[in-house]
Amino acid sequence: MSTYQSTSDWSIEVPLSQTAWQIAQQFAQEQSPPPKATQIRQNALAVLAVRDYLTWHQIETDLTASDIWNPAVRLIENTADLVLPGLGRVECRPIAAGEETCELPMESWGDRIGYFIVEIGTDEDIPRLLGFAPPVLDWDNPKTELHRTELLSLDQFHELMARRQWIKRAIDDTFRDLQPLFSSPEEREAIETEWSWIVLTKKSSQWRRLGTEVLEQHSDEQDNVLLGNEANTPIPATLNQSTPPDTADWQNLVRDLFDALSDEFSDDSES
Amino acid sequence: VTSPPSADSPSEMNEQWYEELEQLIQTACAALKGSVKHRILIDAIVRKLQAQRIPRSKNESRLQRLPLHQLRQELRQDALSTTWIHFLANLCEATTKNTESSYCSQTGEHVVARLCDYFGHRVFDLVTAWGIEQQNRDQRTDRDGNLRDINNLPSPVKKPDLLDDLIKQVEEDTDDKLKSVCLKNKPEITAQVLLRQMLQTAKETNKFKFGDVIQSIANEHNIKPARLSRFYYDHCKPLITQLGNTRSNSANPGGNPE
Repeated sequence: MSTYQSTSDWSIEVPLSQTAWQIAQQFAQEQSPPPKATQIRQNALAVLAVRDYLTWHQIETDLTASDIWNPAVRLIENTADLVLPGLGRVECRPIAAGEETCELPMESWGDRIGYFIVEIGTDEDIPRLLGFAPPVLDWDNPKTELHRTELLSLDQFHELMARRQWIKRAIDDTFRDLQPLFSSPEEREAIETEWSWIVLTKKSSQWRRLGTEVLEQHSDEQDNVLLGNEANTPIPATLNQSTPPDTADWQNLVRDLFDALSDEFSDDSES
Repeated sequence: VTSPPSADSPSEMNEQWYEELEQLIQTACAALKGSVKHRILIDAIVRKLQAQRIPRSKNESRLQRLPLHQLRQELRQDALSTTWIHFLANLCEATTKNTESSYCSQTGEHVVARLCDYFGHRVFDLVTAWGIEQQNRDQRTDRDGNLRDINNLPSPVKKPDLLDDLIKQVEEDTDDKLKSVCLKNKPEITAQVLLRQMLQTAKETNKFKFGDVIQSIANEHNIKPARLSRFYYDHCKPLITQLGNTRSNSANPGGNPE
């Protein structure tokens, strides 16, 4: 994996259409007090810049399914997400031209593939994609801001996406028996994303252990919430209709999945 | 080396620069479309062209005739936006066809020429469209700039305040969805309680500090903020999203982005 270095070599300008600027302005003017309006505008510009960049690469996005497109969510949350159908969401954080760090608000910690950081200057400046960063996975000890020097290159985003798409296809086809382990499509996306980062950033000898830990952590988190207003209501084992495989079975499946990943990607892993 | 026909000629743009560009293009187009290699090389091509401030076009001088500096920037950026999308979608096709720019001896030159030509045309289109819009506006307004047919304009529809609307719906909770979901071993923390506090705080302070509210409620009930935050995402947010969608459908604020 690339070590951190100056982002000046790999940043890319993404000019926006007049329509994009108008949408951002329209969102901002929608019943929001001034500081919130500015936040919404910058967030929308960052999202629209990333959307255009992904369009260059023919990576499908769904703006209307993104939280930024929902008036209630963008009012309550500091959100700048962009949905990549079937894969999850990327967060597109704006950073001002003179700023060294950008905030990673709590709202962006959940279910993100990673962070794009976009420099938004004045109205005359073209937005600039500075780089990419991993998502916040440790909610008990979260990273709340990101310095420019911590960014990964955009190449790393493409490397990650290759692993992400490979894992999704594998679970759709060859490892279909893993599907009942996921309580929802969102949980599946989150787990697949964590596995992708493991494969991108960790040694292949660690993949299976770390991948298994991710599954176990998600299973534990399910225990934190009750459906129904009685504290004694039993917790549903899973929201999925299919029967989850036994522990030994799913551990074998995870082992086989990471063995297959190793065949495909282990030469690329460095750290 | 022949300079790009409709571009300025930065002195650095020499034969070696074109050769490097050509090499990048050939390698990118030989790679499988959508592969990591293809995408990384596409980015490298864009960076190389942007570093030379390409595309440029003689048509850009048309922008100088426009009255407002900011308008010129907007139109230039709009033209650039369309240009990059079109250019990258057709990059590999452009290298394989023998087109009108046959006076360019190298693929690199040919590609730069196409990029500049396309940008020039987009600038031309935008300036023309702006001129037509100006004419129409002149016809719609009197000498002082007031609209002539003010009676034909639709009256603005006053939407209820979004925040008030959300507070009302959370309080009513007509199908008891918000009351029926709570944190394990914390029956007092329901989705309704969390959302009510979140919205009321925003209403009273005019601040929308999601993290602060989560932290405050978590401290009050002696639970981890992360746990409360997950509860919000899994069980409160879908309901807020639904409320927002209902409102969007009644009056789409952003229109269709495409």
